[in-house]
Amino acid sequence: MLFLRLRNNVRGGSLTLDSLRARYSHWVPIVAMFAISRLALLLVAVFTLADAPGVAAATAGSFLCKFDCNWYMSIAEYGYSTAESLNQPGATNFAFYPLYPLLVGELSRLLHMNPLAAAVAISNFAFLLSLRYIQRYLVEFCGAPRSTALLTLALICFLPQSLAFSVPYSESLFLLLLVVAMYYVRREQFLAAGVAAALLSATRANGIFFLLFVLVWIWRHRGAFAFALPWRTPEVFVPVVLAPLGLFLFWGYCFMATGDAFAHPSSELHGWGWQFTAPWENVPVAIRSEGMPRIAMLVSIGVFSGTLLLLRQRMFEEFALCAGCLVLVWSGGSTGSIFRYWLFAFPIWYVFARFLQPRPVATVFSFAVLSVVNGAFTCAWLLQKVFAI
Amino acid sequence: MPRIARWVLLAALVLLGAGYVFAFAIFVRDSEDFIAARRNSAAESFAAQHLVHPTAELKFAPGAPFNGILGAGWHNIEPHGVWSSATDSSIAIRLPRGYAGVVLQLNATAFIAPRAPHAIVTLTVNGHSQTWERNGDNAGEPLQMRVPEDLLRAGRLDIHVHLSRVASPFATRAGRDHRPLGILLSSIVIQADAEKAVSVKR
Repeated sequence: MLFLRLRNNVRGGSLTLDSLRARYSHWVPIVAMFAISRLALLLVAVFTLADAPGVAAATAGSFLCKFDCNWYMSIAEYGYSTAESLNQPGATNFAFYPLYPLLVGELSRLLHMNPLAAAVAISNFAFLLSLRYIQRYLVEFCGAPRSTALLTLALICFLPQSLAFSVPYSESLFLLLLVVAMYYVRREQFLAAGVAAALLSATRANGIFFLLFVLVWIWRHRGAFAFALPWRTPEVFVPVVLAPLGLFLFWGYCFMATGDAFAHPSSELHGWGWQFTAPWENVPVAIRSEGMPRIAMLVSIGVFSGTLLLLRQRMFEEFALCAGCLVLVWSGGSTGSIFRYWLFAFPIWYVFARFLQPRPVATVFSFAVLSVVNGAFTCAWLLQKVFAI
Repeated sequence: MPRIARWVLLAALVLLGAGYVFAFAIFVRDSEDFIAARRNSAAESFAAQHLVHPTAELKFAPGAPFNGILGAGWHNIEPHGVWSSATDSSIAIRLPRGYAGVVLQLNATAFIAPRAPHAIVTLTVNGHSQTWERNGDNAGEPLQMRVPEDLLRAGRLDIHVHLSRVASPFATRAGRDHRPLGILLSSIVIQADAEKAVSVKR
């Protein structure tokens, strides 16, 4: 499509350097940020692995694929299986949602490429595209100056565990689908938003929290009457009704395959010990814990304070979404990996970017700290330290 | 949007929403935790191959011969027994045919802590239930239950332990263990019911 547009522009004589620059200039800083942050992580990886034992004997794949990646790859290559992990009884790949591994499997089959390479390609492409959508979202709907939007993107690129956007995890696809769904709700293109939302709930369980966003949006923009008299504007409910579709299709598949529609939580319970605990019970326990669970919980409280700042910006829809997702994190078992559970919450990073924008010293300091912590997490992930899951 | 199109769209959305409700009801009604089911099934298979001849005491410890009768809802076996990990846990025992009834005794200690002072334990054997309340004074008392002949279905003893709650020592400030704990089962004693005992061919 892009090619056709370019060809038509060339034929019509409208393809000039200036028009190209105007059309694609938004991409330049995004691609630059993406490339710099990913190269930095790659350098960290190279230096980490240079000193790691057993590097010579290992394949590139074994370094790129750790923790959850192995589960995603097993789904992409062989499909879902009720087989339990030998060293983690109760853990099965039903604990992972299907869209990302499905895309990986299809791409690798279509292009006859290694599934791991397909996964890395999808993750990075989705991340790059999501950065552009976030920029458009912030500029068009949040009134963000271009510089603040770019600072937000930079924060996302350098946040601790942002490596998750470039390795075979579903984080980047989730981020892309989330921002696309939010973007099209605000543009009132409800079918597009609904399709993105349905795909979102097939990517990760917390995708269903998009419902909070869209319900608050309807309430704010169409009033309570929209709920009382839905036949007047039924189109606004398209994303609401489509959002759970991915989740239900996965449940249906699980039901057919195992007799347990809730095979995902069953596997998480038996394999990872995750079960719902009320946040008011879980948070004090995590704070009293030692090591990474305590740090992660304290950081999550800091992040939650960012969601409160969304209220000050009158970003109520974004607040509902981010607060809902954080409460979900607080309801689960405390592990270090929860750092990456809030990476997608870009409205929070936008609020922090607004705070940093007029403060260059604080900005430099923040990025220095984030980069160091991000580097440390990358090292830990490569060396398979459990807290970096 | 034309009026008819709005109504058609609304009808489609309502239909899809109703489909969710219907599907969810089916899922909740008919779903069974597939990992728990698999463990219970494995325990039943093990029990079928390892019949218990009363009177017998089945101890739970690393390497003990009857560990395999434990189904879902148990932590790894420790030297002093095995902790239940969930509010529901299962055990499968098979006896040779011919017993007129047995007395079942679970030597178990409920997890009691100052912040979790009570536990209600319900033992269900072949569908017949009995409930005990445990607190700091009687946490370690055995759970004893008579299983009459009419409940002993061809030597099957399907035991289900239900607890009102499980709690971790860490969460209740009783220790550093983060695991959710219910009861610590050290052994099960099975005795032929003396009143109704009949000769059993071993």
